[in-house]
Amino acid sequence: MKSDIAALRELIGPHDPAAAVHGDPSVRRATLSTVFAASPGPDGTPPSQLTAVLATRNGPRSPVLARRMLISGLATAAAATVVAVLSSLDRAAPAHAATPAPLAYAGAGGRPVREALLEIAERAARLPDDTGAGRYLYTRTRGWHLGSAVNGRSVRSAVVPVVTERWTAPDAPGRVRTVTSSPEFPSEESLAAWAAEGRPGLRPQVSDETLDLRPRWNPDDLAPDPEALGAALGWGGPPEAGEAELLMTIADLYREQPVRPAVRGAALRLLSGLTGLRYEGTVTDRAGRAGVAVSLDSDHGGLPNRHTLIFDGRTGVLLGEERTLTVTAGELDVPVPSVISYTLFMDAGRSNSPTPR
Amino acid sequence: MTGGIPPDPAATGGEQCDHFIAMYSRYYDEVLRYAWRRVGPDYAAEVVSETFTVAWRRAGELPEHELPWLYTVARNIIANRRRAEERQEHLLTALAETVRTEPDHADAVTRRQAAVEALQSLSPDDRELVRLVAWDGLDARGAAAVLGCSAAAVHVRLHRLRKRLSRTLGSSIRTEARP
Repeated sequence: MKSDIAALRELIGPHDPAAAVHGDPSVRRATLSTVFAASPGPDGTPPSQLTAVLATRNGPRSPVLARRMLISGLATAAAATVVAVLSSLDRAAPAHAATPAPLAYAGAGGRPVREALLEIAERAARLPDDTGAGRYLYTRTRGWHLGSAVNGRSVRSAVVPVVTERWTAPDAPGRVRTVTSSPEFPSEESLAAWAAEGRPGLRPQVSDETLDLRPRWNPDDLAPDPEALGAALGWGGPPEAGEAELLMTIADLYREQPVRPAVRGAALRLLSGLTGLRYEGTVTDRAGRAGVAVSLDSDHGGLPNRHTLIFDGRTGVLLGEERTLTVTAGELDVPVPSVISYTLFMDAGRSNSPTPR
Repeated sequence: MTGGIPPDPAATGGEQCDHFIAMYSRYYDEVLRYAWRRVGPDYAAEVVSETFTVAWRRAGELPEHELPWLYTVARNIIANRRRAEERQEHLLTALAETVRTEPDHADAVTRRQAAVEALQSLSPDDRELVRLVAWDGLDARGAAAVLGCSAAAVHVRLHRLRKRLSRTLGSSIRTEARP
């Protein structure tokens, strides 16, 4: 005789509203990332040991690179990403490195980049100064680059972004605080490889350093006139490194300090003069913000790559910076195209003390 | 729910993490469907996320039979939400949506409607028990674990529910199917 459960399954089973429901793989991976982010881990386990990630770990670097590393929160800055990755990756490590999904740009429609940037520049220049007052220049960014280190080790299996807060003052020591975000898994292979790699970044790694770090640029020296701004930034036309250097310099400026609306406008005007720059259209960035993107192809950094800057169309503020390999991955074990670094500019302003806003 | 993974003071967070990920992969869809059946598609993903967040926090004390335990966690989360939001059970909406998305097949719709009404006529506890065994794939012991009662009590209730639903659905379907 049929069991009660079998009989009930026969009666009710076919009417299951969720019989055909399966979780979307990307949602499933994103949920896992959320779960890890929501809790440090099993109750009762000791808190993770806070570990400083030191800039000097990988040996000597050029002064500019060292500077950029400090400014970008002890992670390798965009300028040197490709080169640095080549020198820091463990080439014996198996499997493709995990990289974040590319952003979706829309509506470029052949619009001249100059026209798009000048429109934003004009809008920005009319805004009142919103950078605030205080001795310290404060910024908060969220970034990732291929080969990012967690606890001193390069992590390739998952995308582990780092939130960096920086305080710099012309007459006082600076502070750089970094916290690793929860790992993100762009594929099932990434998740499996991450577990095999020892789950780097499962618990937040915090680094908090007081550094003898002064602002690279004095905000008072930054003029609202494009030519004067260019001179203050050290940009007198394409240097040997090419036009990409200006994109990097502007990103470095935003990494370091809040930028007044008038100076934002001037920076956009400077950019609009680049011959290789392209309008990419509108985009929703990795923080869910609407922006306008421009990009430049170059081989700055070692391999052909696309450097993209994303601006807030209403305020002219730089929202994000992305680097994408476009032609070849060289010795990097990633498909082409692949995003190899990004920075989200989340917050900036002045403050009277080097403490979180 | 007896047994369970004995807490090992020397166990690393890594082992617990591997175990948790394996469990997550194995039961994600099951928990998603469990939630979907009770809160509908709009909130199911949130319930899943909260359920596994609790499971991750308690990864060191997961029981041997994990699925009924996960269902219990999800059940509590849903109950808390309902209390907080004073929302009605979403079962009927979820069923109605499924009916709408199916091809317009009169007989199937009739049967589905009959099943909805039959489930609706049950007490909340009985309804949950029927769903646990008919849709969520649990046996009497698993259902007892979720409902917090003995397996013997579940057997008695299942027998009663079988008779009742056979009577209701059998007659309903026969009546509707007649030309």
